Amino acid sequence: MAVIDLGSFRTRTCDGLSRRSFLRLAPSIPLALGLGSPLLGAQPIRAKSVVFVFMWGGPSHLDTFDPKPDAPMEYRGPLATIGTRTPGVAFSELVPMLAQRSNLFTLIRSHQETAPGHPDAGTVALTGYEERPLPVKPNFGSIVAAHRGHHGQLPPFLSLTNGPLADSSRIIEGYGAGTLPKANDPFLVGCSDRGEVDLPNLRLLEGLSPGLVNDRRTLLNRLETDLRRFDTAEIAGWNDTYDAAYRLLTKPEARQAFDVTRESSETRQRYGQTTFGQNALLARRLVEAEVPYIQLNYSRHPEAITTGYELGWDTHILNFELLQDQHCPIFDRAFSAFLDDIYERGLIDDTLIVAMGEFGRTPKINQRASRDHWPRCYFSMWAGAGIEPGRVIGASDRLGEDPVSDPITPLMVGTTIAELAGIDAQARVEMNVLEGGTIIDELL
Amino acid sequence: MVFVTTLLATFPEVVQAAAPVRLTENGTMKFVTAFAGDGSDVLFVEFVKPTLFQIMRLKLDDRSVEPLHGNQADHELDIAVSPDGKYYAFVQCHSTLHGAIEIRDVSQKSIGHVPAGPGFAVYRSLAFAPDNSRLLFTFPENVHRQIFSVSLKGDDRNQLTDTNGINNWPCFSPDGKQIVFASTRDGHYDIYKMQADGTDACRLTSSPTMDLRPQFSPSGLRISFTSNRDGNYEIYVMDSDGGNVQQVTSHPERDDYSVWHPDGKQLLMVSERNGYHDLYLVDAPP
Repeated sequence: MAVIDLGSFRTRTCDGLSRRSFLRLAPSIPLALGLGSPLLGAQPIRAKSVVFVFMWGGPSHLDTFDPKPDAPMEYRGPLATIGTRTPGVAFSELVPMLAQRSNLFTLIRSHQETAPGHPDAGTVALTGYEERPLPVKPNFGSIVAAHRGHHGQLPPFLSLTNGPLADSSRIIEGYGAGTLPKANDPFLVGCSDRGEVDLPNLRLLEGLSPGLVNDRRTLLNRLETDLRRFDTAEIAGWNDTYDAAYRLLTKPEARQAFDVTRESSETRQRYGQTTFGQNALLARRLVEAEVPYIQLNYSRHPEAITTGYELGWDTHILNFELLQDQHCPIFDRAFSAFLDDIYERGLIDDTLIVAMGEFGRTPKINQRASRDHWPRCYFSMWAGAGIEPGRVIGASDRLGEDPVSDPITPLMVGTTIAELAGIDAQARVEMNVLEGGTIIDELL
Repeated sequence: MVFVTTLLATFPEVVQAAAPVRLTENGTMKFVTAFAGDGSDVLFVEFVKPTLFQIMRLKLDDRSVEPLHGNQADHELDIAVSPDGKYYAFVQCHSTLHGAIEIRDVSQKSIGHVPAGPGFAVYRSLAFAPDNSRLLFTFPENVHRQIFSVSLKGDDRNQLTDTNGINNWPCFSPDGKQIVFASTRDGHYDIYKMQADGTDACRLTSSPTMDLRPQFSPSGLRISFTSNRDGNYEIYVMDSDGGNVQQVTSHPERDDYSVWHPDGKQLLMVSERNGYHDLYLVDAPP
């Protein structure tokens, strides 16, 4: 997968402050717009856009959305519970904003899968199938992209991240098209915590240096001027991948959709000045641009504290500290703002939102006063596309170790997403995807 | 150890103080703070980018901010400065889920080191004794997190707590005779106080939510702490015996990580106002 580092430069934002911002684009394959054969069946599309929020690393279910206040302390942990807008349902005190918004989404507490580690469980979470036997199956987003085709100005499958999802050992194999044509791989877009998304590769623009650019208007004027020169000379040397990305970024519609600085300061503040917060805002913009599938990744890596890696939910150590100081405040704020925004803008009926990790964490606290991987039980949050909000589907046992209702698998998640995105059983057979998958009936 | 529960008022008085003074402007997530020297500088941990926690130094005279240790790639968690300003300590992560303690003098020369233990291991919550004889830290062992002390060379390790649950954020009294800390030994995070040798622990607060990060005032007569008892994180101050709890901040956004200014009249805090995490100075209750 090729990654274009578009470099960084200091610009003046709409509020007059100087910021260092960057955009990393990674077209994974030739993205010639217009490729793809739409397989539009008679199935109505309830979700024009799907936003899959990937909580990479495995958030602790007991310390977030499935607390066990009556369990022994070595399971319950040190956190209290708080009431929600859903009668009889409590969340951890670390997510107070989402507790007040429990009426906006449906919570599932009975997920289960079998893969133990991050790359393999990540593939399962994103495709519904294990990595082996080969071939690796397509990402849910690639399925939607293949079904919808490449008709708009933006790729049908965008993954918001600073690079390919990976842990310290390797990347997730289930990141993209799998058995489908490579044209359905995700297009990677990164947005910094400053909320600025940069424009095309400044390094290609001869004579354009950060020192010469002191406002966005000047930058845009130079870009438009230099495009003609590049079209006639340098661009001929690019391969199809870079060519497609470049052409994408020069389209006004693309630039506008990616430009979160077009939002008011108030809106950007609601999401919070964090990478995930500003990417969540970008996701909302992409929903408005009718991108069919957006994978909003909490982080590029799952690890809790590892040199050189983005911080994920994998709290083998410092579980309570990192959830309290970092992950829950960030997620609580950004996801709340995202839900509010989608509802307030009237987008909820046509948008499917799913938030989940690849597994949960050990109900019994480990030797380091933290929690390890736990595929046997975890949660997800669903909103939009006609799903009745304010409910809890499924339950875990008194210690949070296993579902007490029929387990809901990643394959069921993908099948339900596909169904709501207009890919019915017949279409799934024709596409040869999600074989054996069933819909989460209680959800619909 | 003998435990005594002291039940305090649930609804403390909100102190109406002047508006907090904002010290930083970049809005990036910030944690753990400490005054350096006579209060002219502030050291704090900042989440400078998605892959890095770094200790930063804020000079209060010109509000300039720079990394304490220049450009480096390893996570730096937690920072503590000795009351006389001669030493500081921090946690440094060199690899996956490993964090060791570095103890240095004011010229940044290393004088002590506490290596990370085997497996996944990260120390947290550092605090100097007023006479620089000991450094406190917390570490998880056998399911629970306990408070320990070492010499400034990093040896002579001594365990001060041995209870169920989380014991965290220890802070010496100015006379070095007592340690205030937070503990979940009774079920939820409350503030406790014990003798410097770990004996005679007593409970100072009793809240069904979280009371965290206690800090003795320079006089030793009062303790600041963070609590979410009113629904979100606010700064509180109480007497050193747990009485007279006063709410210092009352803002819909998070106010946290309070430390006392050396003059004892103000508190430094990290506040998430309008989505931006910045350092603020707020008047302490008289």
